[in-house]
Amino acid sequence: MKAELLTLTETTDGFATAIIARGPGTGINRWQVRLVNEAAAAEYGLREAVVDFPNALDADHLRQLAEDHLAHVSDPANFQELTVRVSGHDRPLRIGQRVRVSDGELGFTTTGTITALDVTEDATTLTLGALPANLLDVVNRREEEERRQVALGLPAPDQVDVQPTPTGIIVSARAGVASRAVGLEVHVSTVNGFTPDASTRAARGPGTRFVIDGLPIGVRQYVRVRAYDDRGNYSPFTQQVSAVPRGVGGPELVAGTIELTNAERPQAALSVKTTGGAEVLRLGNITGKPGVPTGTQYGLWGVAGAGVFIEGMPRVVYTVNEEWAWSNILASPVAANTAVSFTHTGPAIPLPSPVTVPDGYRLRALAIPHTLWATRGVPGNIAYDVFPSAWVLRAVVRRAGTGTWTLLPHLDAAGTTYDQVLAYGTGFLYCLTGAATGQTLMVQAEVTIMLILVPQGASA
Amino acid sequence: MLTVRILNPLTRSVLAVLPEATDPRYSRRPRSATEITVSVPRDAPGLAHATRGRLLEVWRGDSLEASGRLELRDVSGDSVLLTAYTEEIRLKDHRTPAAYGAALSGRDAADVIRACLDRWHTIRLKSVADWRVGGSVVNLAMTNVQALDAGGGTLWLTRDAQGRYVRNGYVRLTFDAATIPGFTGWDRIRWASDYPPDGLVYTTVQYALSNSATLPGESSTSWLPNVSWQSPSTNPQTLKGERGVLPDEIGIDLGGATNRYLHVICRLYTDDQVSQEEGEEGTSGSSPRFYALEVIARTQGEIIAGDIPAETGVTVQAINADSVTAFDVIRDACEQANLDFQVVAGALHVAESFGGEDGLHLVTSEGTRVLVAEPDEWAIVTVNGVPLHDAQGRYFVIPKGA
Repeated sequence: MKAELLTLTETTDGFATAIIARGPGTGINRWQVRLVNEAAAAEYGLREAVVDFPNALDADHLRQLAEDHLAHVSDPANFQELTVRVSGHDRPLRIGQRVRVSDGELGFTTTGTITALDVTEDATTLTLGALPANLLDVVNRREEEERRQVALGLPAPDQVDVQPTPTGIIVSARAGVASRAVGLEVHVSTVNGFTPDASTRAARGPGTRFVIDGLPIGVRQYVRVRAYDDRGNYSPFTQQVSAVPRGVGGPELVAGTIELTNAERPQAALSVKTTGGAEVLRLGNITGKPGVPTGTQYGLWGVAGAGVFIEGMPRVVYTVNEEWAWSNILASPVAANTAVSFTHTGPAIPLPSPVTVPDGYRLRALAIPHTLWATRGVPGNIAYDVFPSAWVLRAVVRRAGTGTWTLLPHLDAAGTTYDQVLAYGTGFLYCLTGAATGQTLMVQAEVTIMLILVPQGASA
Repeated sequence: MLTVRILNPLTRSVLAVLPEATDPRYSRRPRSATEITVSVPRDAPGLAHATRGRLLEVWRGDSLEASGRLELRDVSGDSVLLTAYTEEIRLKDHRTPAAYGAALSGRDAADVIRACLDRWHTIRLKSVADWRVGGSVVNLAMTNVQALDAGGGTLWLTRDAQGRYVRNGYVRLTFDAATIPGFTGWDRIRWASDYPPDGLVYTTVQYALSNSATLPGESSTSWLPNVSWQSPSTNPQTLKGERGVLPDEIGIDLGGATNRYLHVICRLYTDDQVSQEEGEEGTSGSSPRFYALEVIARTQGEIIAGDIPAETGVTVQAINADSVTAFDVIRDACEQANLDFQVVAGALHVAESFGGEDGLHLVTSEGTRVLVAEPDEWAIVTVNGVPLHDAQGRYFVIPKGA
C-alpha cells in the first residue's frame, strides 16, 4: 500500500485549559463548577470555555462530567488533524479502523483512528484522529534523538508463527502495537541456531504473512524475523521457530488437547498433559522420565493407565506384597521320608480403588511366590531336612456388593466391580527325618498379589 | 530578512529567534483577531519553542511587522507553517459570569471596555454541599435555616416544635479574598430566591467588607445596606437588608472593594405559619426558598489598559454577556460606540481609527504619538540613512515640508 502524508496540522476549535461547567437551569440558579488544568494553563495560558451539561444529575455528577471533558479539551493531542492519501490497498478501509502511519521525512511513526474517508477511483484520503501524542511537538524536535524519545520504538516482532505447507512454510508475525516498523524481514535456514545474514533472507515486505515455497520436503526449516522502519533501521531478530515442509499428501498433525512444544527446547517435541498439568505422554527427548533407561534420549514415554493405553496390552491395576509364616504343631508323629499337608489363607485386602472391568477385558488375579521354605520350630531357621512340595498359590477377588469370592480368571461381564483380594496356598512338607508329636513345622513365603486387566481374547 | 521571535506570553521574554522565515502573511480588520502566518524551515533551531500559546513576533530587519499568539502549526509542506492570531485573541481567554449583561449595560462604552480587562472569578453556592466552610468560604453559620436540595431550593427556614416554619432565620458567611488567585477586588453579590410581590415570604441580603474574618452579629449595624422596614402583612415583622432589583443579574454592586473579607448575610422571612397544603398534616406555614448565592470577584487579567478614552459619551445598552468572552463584550461595546480596538504588546487600545490599513503608531520628533491616517504627509526621520525609531519600533516623523 502506498501512502502519502497530506496534512499534519493543529486545530483550535474547542481547545481550553479551564472550563466553566454548567448544569441544567438558567442564570445563576444552576450548578456550576469551574475547573482548571493547571499544568495545561501554565503551558498554554488560562483559556476558559463554557460547557453546558443539561444531563447532569447533581453537583457531583456535574463535576465528574466536567473533569472528563476538561481532560479531553485541555490535551493538545486531541486538536490536530492528520490526513493521508493511500493507494494500492487491497482491503476496504473503514471508519474507526486503527492504522499506523509512518513518515520518514518528518521522522515519526504513529497510530491513528480513521475519522473520515474520501475515496476516489485511484486513492483514498484518510483523516485520522485519536493520535497518541502531539505530533507537531514531535516533528519540531530538532534533534533526531529527541524525536526518537517521543516517537514509537522498533522492537522485535512478536506473535511469530510458522506452519508447514506441502512445499514450504508460512511465516506470520506482527510488528507490535508500539512499533514504528513499516515491514518485516524473514530469514530461513536449515541450521539450528543459525545467524541470519543476506544469504538467509527469504522474504521482506509490509505484510504480516509470508509464504515461502520451494523448500525441501521433510527438512526442518528454522525461521527468524526482524522488523524495519522507513529509514533503514532494523529491530532485533526474534528467537527462531521451525517447521518441516510436509510434502504433498503428508500427514497433518492437528493440535487439540496436544501441546506441540518448540522443537528446539530440550524437553520434548510432543507432550500430552492432563488438565491438571501432569505430563502423561511424551514423544521426543524422554531422558530422565520415570522408568526410562539411562542413556535413552529419544523415544516414547507414557504413564500407563493415566495417559497411555495400548490396544491388546495387559494392564496391571494393583499389586501388593505379603509375607506369610504359618505353623503346624504336630498332633501325631511324622515318619521319616513322609509328607504332611499344609494350607494357608492370607488376609483379605481391600483394594484402594475398586476395580471395574472395562469393556473387552477380564480381570486376572495372580499370587506369585518369591520364596517358599520350611522350618522346624522357630521362624527363620531354614531346615535342611524338611522342604515344601507340590505347592499351589492362588489369589481370589471379591465382587463388590455381593461378598462373593471368585477364582480368577472368570467370566464376569464387563462392568463388574471388585473391592477385595486375598491369596491362599496349599501343598505338602516333605520330612527327610521324622518329627515327634508337639513339634512345630512352619512354612514361610513372600508373595506378590497382582491384579491385571487382560484383553478378553488374550491368554490369561 | 525576516525573523520570527517566540516569546513567553507572560513575561514577553524572547525564548527563541527563528531565522530565515519566509512568506509572512497577515491582515488587519477592525475589532478582530486576525491571522498571521509565516513559514519556517523545518530544521530551524528553536522551533521546539514554537508551541501553542506562545507569542509570535515577525520582524523585518529591525521592524516589528506583526505579533500575535501562536495557535497552529502545519507541517504539511516542506517547512513548518506557523499561524498566530493577533493579540486581540487573548481577550477570548476569559469570560463574563452568567447573565451578566445587565451588570454591564447602562454604562459608558469606555467603562464597559475597561471592565473587561480583569478576569471574573465566580463563587456560587447552589447545592447543599456548597453551603459549608470550604474553598473561599471561611465562615458559615446558620440560624433557623437549613440547607436542603428538596423542592429545587437550597436554603429553607426550619420548623418549630409545632411543625410551623419559624418566622425568620439567616445564614452568615465569610469569603476570603486570599483564596482567590490574582484577586483585584469584589465585584458584586447576586442571588436567586423567593420574594413574590404579593406573597408572605421574603428574602434579603446584606454584606459587610472587612479586614477581619470575624463574622458580624446578626443585629450588627455594619451590614449594608443598613435598611429595614415592616413586612406588608396583617402580622408584620421587621425586614432587614436588600431585596434587590434583578438580584440574580445585577445584585449588589461592591464597587471593586479590595478588603480581604466579604461577609454576607442571607435572611429568610415568612409571615405565614398557618397555611397547609392539601393533605398536609402536622406541619404548617410556608418558607421562602433561597436557591443560589453568587459572589463575583475580579482577578488580574493578562491585558492591561492602553489608550482607552476616559469616556466615549455612548451608553452601552442590551449587551449580551451570558458567559461570553471579554472579546465579545468589547467588540459589542465598540460597535455600539463606533470604535475600534487593538491589543498591542499586551495593552488594549481603543480609538475611533488606527490609521487605516498600515496601522502604524508613529512618534513625532517632539515625542508626541500620532496615528498616521495620511502617511504621505509625514517623513520618517533618518540618521545616516537609517530610520529612527523608539524602543517599541515606532518611527520618529516630522511633517513633510517642515
